[in-house]
Amino acid sequence: MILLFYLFSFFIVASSGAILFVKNIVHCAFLLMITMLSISGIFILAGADFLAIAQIMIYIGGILILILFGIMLTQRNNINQVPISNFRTSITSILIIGLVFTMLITIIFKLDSESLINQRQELIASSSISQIGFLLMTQNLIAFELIGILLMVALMGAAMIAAQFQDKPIHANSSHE
Amino acid sequence: MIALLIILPSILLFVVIGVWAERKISAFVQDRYGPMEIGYYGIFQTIADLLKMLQKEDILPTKADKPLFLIAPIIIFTSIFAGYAVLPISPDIIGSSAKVGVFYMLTIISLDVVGLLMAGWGSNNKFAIIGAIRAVAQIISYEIPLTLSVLSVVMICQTLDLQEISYQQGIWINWNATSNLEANYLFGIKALNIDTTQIGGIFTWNIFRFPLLMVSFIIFFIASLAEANRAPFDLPEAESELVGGYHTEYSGFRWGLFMLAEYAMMLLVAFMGAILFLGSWNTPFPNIGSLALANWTSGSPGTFLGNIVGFSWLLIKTLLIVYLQMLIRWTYPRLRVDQLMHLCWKILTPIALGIVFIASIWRLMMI
Repeated sequence: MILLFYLFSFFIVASSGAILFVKNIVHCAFLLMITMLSISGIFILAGADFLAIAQIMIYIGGILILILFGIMLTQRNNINQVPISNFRTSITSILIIGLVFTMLITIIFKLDSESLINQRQELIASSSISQIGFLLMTQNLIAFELIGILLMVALMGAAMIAAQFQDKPIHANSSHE
Repeated sequence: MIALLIILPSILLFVVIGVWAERKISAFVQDRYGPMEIGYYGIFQTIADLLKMLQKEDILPTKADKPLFLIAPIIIFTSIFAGYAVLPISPDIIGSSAKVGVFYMLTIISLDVVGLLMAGWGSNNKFAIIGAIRAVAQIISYEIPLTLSVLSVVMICQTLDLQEISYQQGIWINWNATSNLEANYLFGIKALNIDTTQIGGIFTWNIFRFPLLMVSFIIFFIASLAEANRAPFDLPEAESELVGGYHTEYSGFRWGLFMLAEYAMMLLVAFMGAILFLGSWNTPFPNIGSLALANWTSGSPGTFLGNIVGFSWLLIKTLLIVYLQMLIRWTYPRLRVDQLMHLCWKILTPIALGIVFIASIWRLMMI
């Protein structure tokens, strides 16, 4: 169990580190897949089976594919040589990294790991899926419904934007260019 | 562990027989004989082809993106093979009895999209990249009617565990239960007061517990054809337009992995269709009065006979669906891209959504 945890952690650190230093942006996107898969592995070790699968479905099945499409369809000539750093952004990134690091360190030291481990044993034994279902339909119903409406509005907006081009004949559009 | 030892060889065997069957069926549909030379009725044709394929050179295009090109077939096959992990192949044999079974399977097989994009991009070939983007657009779109049709089954069964869904569809529904005995009613309506729990057979299959699931099954079947890139949805490898689609540049063993993945996907969606809709490993014959056909044609879970008979029923149903897939491939012409999207978004998705809505009401009548 603990060995698997270190294996997944190693994959997360290695792949996300590689994303920073690999110059080919398509390779970066594919390396992101390893990061996402390893994170879902950690979720499974923590007993959150539903969250792990949702992580794969949303981040790899959805967002990563979107990123890949974005990269592939807006290709520039030098896709293998994307500049990965410059002086101006480095100061801001160092500041942000420092901030996040201090935040994480304080959280880690404040955690009561003893009681967490005891809780975890019970959590792993049972699947989280029915609890999530009950909570979504009782305690968190309003938030759940609001998110549903928000997503539907976004979907309709996307359909509207895509449908705008259908009013004009496509050929006239392309001949302008 | 035993599930792995059964499933991996059976996939390989299925590919060998499946390719031969496909060529034979296509021949019969077109009024020809098909392969006839090697072995009786050409039965060893695929093995000869396989030996030829393995000896071919593994060509790596000079300008290909090497790591992506080499890894892509492995990712595609692995992600589809991972889907078999939660498949119950008999009352007792299942790879992993995870509670999130169906959700896991739908998710993990969608990972092959990443592999397809890798293959298309890595090949550095126009046809390959167009084929890959077509395949991904198609697979992502058809995931929605597929998931919705599976969701209506899940709403009726109230579980994501495929083994539990299997148990619910037959006379062994209360096999693992100690209290809270469940009961099946004809068409799932308790008010009709016809208890089919001990009748079993076809009357407790999901398509009978909620008759609209028959429509759902058809939607599932159409969407699964598109997911497996089978004709009439084989636009990604439309040979008249795109040479070979995303596997244009592949040869030898790596090309074989694509073929293996395609046939493994066909088998997987056929298994899923049989498990979710057609009673899984349960017998189709009901107990009618003293004629206890269901008891005679299925052994009780836990026994050797029960597992063998259960596996056989599941395999028969699955192979029938595979046969249907092959027949359709050689009967219907290929769709155009806009027709493909029209069918998905304007026909299948609304119907599937409606069935999900009715299923939630139907479930209230079942208890």
